[in-house]
Amino acid sequence: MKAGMIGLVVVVVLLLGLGGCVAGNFNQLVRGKADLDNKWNQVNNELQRRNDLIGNLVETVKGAAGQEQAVFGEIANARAAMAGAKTPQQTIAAAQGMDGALGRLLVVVENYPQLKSEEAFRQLMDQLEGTENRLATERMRYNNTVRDYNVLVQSFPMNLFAGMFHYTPAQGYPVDESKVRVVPKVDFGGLRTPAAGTTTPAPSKP
Amino acid sequence: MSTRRAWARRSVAVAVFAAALWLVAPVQAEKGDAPIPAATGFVTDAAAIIGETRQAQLESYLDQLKAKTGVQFAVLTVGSTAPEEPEQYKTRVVQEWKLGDEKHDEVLLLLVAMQEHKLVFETGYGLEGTLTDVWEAGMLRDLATPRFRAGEYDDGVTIAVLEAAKRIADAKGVSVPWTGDALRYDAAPSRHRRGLPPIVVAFLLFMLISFVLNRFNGPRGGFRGGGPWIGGMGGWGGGFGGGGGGGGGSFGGFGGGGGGFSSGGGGGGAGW
Repeated sequence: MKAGMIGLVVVVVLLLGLGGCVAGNFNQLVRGKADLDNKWNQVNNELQRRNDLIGNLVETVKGAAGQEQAVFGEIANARAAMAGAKTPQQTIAAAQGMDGALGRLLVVVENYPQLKSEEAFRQLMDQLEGTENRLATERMRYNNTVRDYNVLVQSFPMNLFAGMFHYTPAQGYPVDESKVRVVPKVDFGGLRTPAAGTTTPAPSKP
Repeated sequence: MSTRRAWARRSVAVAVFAAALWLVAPVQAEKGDAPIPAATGFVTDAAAIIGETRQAQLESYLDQLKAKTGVQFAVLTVGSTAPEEPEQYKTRVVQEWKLGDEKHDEVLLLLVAMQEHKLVFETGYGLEGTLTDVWEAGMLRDLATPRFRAGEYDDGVTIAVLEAAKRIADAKGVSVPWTGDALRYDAAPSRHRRGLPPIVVAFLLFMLISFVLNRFNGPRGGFRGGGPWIGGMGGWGGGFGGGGGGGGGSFGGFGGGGGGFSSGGGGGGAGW
């Protein structure tokens, strides 16, 4: 009788312990996944923003360089691929295609000096450069989160629970640095004369 | 015999030391990024391009801006950001200086990279609406880079600071006039703080005592715990030592605490 009671208590305690363990691990998985999704959304926001900007950029460039049909077709295809992407992996692949197309567009632009002096074009390039920088930052943070998440999901004993609840390792957003840095390098140097900047007086010298 | 043993002991010590170095070295060697100077105030002039008086005036001005708008606006000049681009370096600076955090993201950094010939802003999430990339890049191109081309670096930095501050002040409905007041911090050796704050001393003592107690009283296997306490010590950052026109104070670093991000690589730039 007494031994039975003790046995029951031990079993209950073990079950409670096991349940708590499962719940704790599960919560950790949920938090990890939420963090991952959050970071991916940041990346995706910047990609969408870039996509919109590129649309505007194409319209502006067409005005001056309408005959460069090949590169416009390439951009249009890349934008369509971006719009059709459903999973992060598809989006990343489409964005990499866009990196290449955009790089070629900017090479074409180099041949049209009068375009580079247009205010509208210049503002678009400023926006695009800012977006590329934000994208680079968010991409780095996403990759760091992917790394942490994968460690979480694949280390023992979490891998047992992760398998049970279908938490699979995520894939990062690899960066081809050579391609990425091509993008914001449109040189406006020499377009402004030093005299242009005298609308606001400098503070008086002490 | 005894000399041989001493020699053996010494070579073991050397080997241990070398092993320790070897363990530490790869971590640092991998980090080939350009070092980030410690913040010496709102203005950290590591490239030494801003005159001492002008720096003190900017310091006072940015202190005023912080007091009136809550915006932390820091300026950093460096010789070079290589091997990184200034655009990557600036995001690291904001993080390393703990310029704001997730909740306090109205922060702004103006980075001047001399060798790269580049002026760039890093705009906190909270200021992206007020200071757009287009506005920042246009302002720098129109007003700051001509002065940099002419070699008038302190005027170039000053005009960029004033223009951005004016835009922030306008958005907040206050005015932040340039008074020419100067603010200098006490020239302590580290320019950070003299000695350790009492709470840190107390904490270190506590750690030492618990370590010793563990060593001698605890179960075999020595040092246990200690870890969890460290976690709680994350965010003492200190505010700004005040001091008005012509006064002194001591710069306590930027006050951000937690691990959240205050900016995400946004901000316009221009080359000269």
